[in-house]
Amino acid sequence: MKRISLVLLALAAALFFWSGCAAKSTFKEADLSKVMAAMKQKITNTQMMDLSSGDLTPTYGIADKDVRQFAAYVDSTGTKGDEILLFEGTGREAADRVEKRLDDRYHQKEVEMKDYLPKEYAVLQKCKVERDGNFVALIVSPQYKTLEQIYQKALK
Amino acid sequence: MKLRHLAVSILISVGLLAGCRGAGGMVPAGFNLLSASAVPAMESTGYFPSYSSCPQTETASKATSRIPGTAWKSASSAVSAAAYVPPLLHCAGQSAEVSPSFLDHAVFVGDSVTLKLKNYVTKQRKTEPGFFGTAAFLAAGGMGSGNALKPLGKDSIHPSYNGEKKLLEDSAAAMGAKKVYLMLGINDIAPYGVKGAAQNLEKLSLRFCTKIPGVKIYIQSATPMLADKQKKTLSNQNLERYNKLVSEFCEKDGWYFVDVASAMRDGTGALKREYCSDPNDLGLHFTDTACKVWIHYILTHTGG
Repeated sequence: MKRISLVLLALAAALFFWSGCAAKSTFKEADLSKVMAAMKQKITNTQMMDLSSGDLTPTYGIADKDVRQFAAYVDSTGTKGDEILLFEGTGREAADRVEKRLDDRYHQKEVEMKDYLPKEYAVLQKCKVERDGNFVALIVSPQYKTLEQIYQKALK
Repeated sequence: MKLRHLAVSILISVGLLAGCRGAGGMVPAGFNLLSASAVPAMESTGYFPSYSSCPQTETASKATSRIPGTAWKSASSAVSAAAYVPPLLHCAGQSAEVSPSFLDHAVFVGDSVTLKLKNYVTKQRKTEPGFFGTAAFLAAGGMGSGNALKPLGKDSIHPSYNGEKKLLEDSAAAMGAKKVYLMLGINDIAPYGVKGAAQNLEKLSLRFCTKIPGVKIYIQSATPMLADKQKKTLSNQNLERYNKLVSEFCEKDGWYFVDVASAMRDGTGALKREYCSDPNDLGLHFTDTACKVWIHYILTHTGG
């Protein structure tokens, strides 16, 4: 009986340490402004502009308190779908809220482009909102594959 | 045989009549739509070399014209640059440029053309915080009066503000709008026709008035497109017919008609090429330079 208890205890300890390590390994870090700077080198749309924190609430409904860091670079012409939004939430629930807003934004872009900008809509259909820990991103660009690689590589 | 003579006579008569018209000057393309009094008024006023349809020295709240028509082509149907006569419409008169604070609590409603203005203003405000006052925007690509009048839903076009998707008038009310500037039409003319598009815009504008008592309505004319990008229905000629109807209901309803289109046209009535950001695509969106012209026009045509 004593031996069984010891084995169970050892297993529990192993499980505890393993889960601790696993949690540590999923913790992500990235400097989003640096990630965006790297992405800008690959984006072919020359009519893009940066958004500032004051633009987040009116444009996306994202509250400052939910954002630990962000970078936003969007088309300025009104005729292209390019929109690169990178966020790190201040916590899991904050990241949930940011993700919800980016899902809404993605859907709104679908509604606006479907019949109006078919080429841009085709690009949009290949892109998606991505969630990784507290990081949430929406990368819409004809260069989305390259930009996603930059983003994924940066999240370590 | 007699029938042949009759046919030849008719043909000769028609030919002579067409010749007379050609020599006599312009006949509006929309002639059938105009009242009988429109043509004499046009002839007496003559050609205005300036692209603006409103008298430049007008300081009254509204400049008016007796001429509700547009001359687009000669009777021989040959469209020529020299032949274009800008439409003269009831519109807000010109004044000295006012402070951008005039646009505090103003909300601009529009489609992708207005979306460009929003982006231009957003960019400028990075270095100049008071740029364009505190004006806010409700703009979406593909938006028109027709789809704005449709019920709110997940798949409706209505843009969100602060993350909330609402009917335009509800969003404007939530934003504390005291002035609402609308520019819609390019996405309406094809599906609803000129008249239907204008009627929809009037209905939409009335919704703002009902929702926000005391709000001032400024309706901006739909702006032209490049001549070579015109479609069968969405054409500069139809945009001008639409603007004419819009200016008329503005006059009737006591709203300001701001003829932005007049500042964007070249000598043929098309969008100035240097103002067009998408000459190889739709041919109707604006450059930064056009946005500057647009803003100047708004600030110099405030309705007094």
